[in-house]
Order: sequence, then structure tokens, then C-alpha cells
Amino acid sequence: MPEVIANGVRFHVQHLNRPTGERTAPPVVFLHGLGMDNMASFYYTVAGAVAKTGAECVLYDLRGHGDTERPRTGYTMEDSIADLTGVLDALEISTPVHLVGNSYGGTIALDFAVDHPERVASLVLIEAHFNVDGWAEQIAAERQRVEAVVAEMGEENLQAWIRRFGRKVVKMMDALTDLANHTSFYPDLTKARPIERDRLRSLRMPIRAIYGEKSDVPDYRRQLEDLLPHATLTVVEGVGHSVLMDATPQVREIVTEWLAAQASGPCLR
Amino acid sequence: MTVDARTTAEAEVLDVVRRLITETIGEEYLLDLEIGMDTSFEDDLEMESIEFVKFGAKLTEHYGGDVDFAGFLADKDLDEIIEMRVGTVVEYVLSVRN
Repeated sequence: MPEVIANGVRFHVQHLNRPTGERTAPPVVFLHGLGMDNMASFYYTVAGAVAKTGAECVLYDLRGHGDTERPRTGYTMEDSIADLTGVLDALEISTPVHLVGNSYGGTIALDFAVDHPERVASLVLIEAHFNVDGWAEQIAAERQRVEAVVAEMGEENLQAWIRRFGRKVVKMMDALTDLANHTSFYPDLTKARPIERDRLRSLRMPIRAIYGEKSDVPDYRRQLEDLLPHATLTVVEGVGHSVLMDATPQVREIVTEWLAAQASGPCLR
Repeated sequence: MTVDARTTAEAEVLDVVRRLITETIGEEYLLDLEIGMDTSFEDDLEMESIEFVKFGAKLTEHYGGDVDFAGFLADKDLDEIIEMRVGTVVEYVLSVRN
């Protein structure tokens, strides 16, 4: 099923190893990062290997990303959680799932787990941002940096420059420009309210975390160690925030081993 | 399989692959382009990553679950995926169907 309507939005979904009868193991749901990212980053790296073990896998493009619809509004964390809930409901998945999130996908996974702990079997957080104090300010600063570059170059010059590239880059940049400039994407992200630390600390499901040694979000790694001491953490040497792309074999191994351990361990609900 | 049979089977799969690529990225872009075994998804077709995913899903839908596109990619590293040519996919489909 390549598309579902969830939360009023058309989502591009790839559902691998969909069970024909009753579901016997938690499905694995992949959540990609923001901006230029889409489900392909998981599809090309980890999801295929997980699917090969026979596990049910769900990949979807977040609202405004990839081949999912790009509505003008609805980019707050609350919307992202409602989107995930809607996609699971549309696929008739009511049992707990393993959430594998990269970057902002990890942020969504954490927020979803805090709101719906009963729907989460385990979390795999790859370079996850934490929605704690200062996160919204960081997004706002990022937005200002992008705006400064565009202002310096001039919108017209930027458009002319983009159009020198081939079809693929033009399509990608057009989508990104529309998302950034003509939807509530940035304003919504900067509205994010931090998760209360006590609620984060209350999470009990097994958590696996992966960060890059040269990550630009090391602060989040430290917060993870502080707030979620039961999480198992791996720091991959020599790579930064794009650990999923730059250390694919290692991430693939960690994720598949983790999911196999959950299946055989006592944590399966 | 004889050489002739192999050639026929290859031509048939290539036809299907051509049609599914056209469905995925649209005919207007492909007007000047003849898709052959040596056509590159990245350099020649300029397929976006998400279009490649959708193309793969169409391929699995067409041939059934034995043509497991996600599993096919699972054995490859990113460079191999980025540099992939149409012929590699055709060969894969043929290998599964024989």
C-alpha cells in the first residue's frame, strides 16, 4: 500500500512484510529527519536489512517531505505525533511498535513515546535531538542562518542558480523552498514546548541510542545519558551528524542486533 | 536457458522496467532519452532518491514478493545504489525469476 490518508493528509508509505494473519511481533517504524530528508535514507541503509530478517517494516515520508502531501500548516510536534498515530491507525497497527528515528525523527519518536508509552516496544534513536530547553531557539537560529544566505544572494539569483542544475536538484530545492518559505514549517517548529524532564525520565521501554563522535549535537548525547540512564549508547568514531549515511554498515548491524535481541528478550509485550 | 531465450527474457524485463520508470518520473522528462541496460538512474535519469524507492515498489508490485527490492538494496552500499544502472535491476529480476 503506497499511500494512506492519515490525520487528513496523504502520506507516502512503504509497508514491507505486512502480515497476512494476526501480528506476532512488533512492527518496526522508521522516522526520517527534516528538510531534505525522506524515507529513502532509511530505505537505502537499514530498512532493507531489517526487512530481510522477516520483520514487518513501515516507512513513511513525514508531512511536507518526500512524496507525502505538503499542506500549508501542521508542522508542530503535536501534529507530527498525530500524524504517526494516524499512519499506524490507517495501517491497523494497534500493537506496540519499535520506533527507529534519525535526527528529528528521533525527536518525534521520543515525544511519541512520552505521549503513548503503551504503543512503543522500544526506541532506537540515531543522532536524536531532544525536545528540551533551548531546542526551539536552535531551530530559530538555523532559520535565521538560512534566511541570511538567501537575503545575501537574492531570491531571484538563488532561483537562477538552482535552475543551472539538473531535474533532480531543481525538484528537491523547489520542494524545500516551498516547505521553508510558504508553509508554517519553521514557525511551527519553533513553537515546540520542551518535554518535561520528569516525563522523559519516566520512560521505561528499552532504548538504544547512536551518536556520531563529531556530531554537532553532542549536548543531546549528554542529556540522554543524564535523563535516560537505562539507554544503551554507542558513539561511532570519525563521523558526525550523518552517521546513518556515513557509517551505514555499523548502524545497520546495531539496529538489526537490537531488534533481534528485543524479539528474544523478556521485553516483548 | 539458451542464448536466444535469455535475450528475449532480458528484453521483456527491460520493457517492464522502462514502463515503470516512465510511470515514476513522467513521460515529459524522458522524451529524448532511450532507456537501455547501460542507463544510469542517477546520472542519466536524474532520479530522486524517493522516486527510486517508488520505482522499486512498482517493480515488486509487478513481479510479486520474490522480487524484493528493499532486500535487493540491503546487500549494497550507498555508492553502489547511487551508481546503479538499469541493467543491474534487469539482471536481478532475471536472477529471481529463473
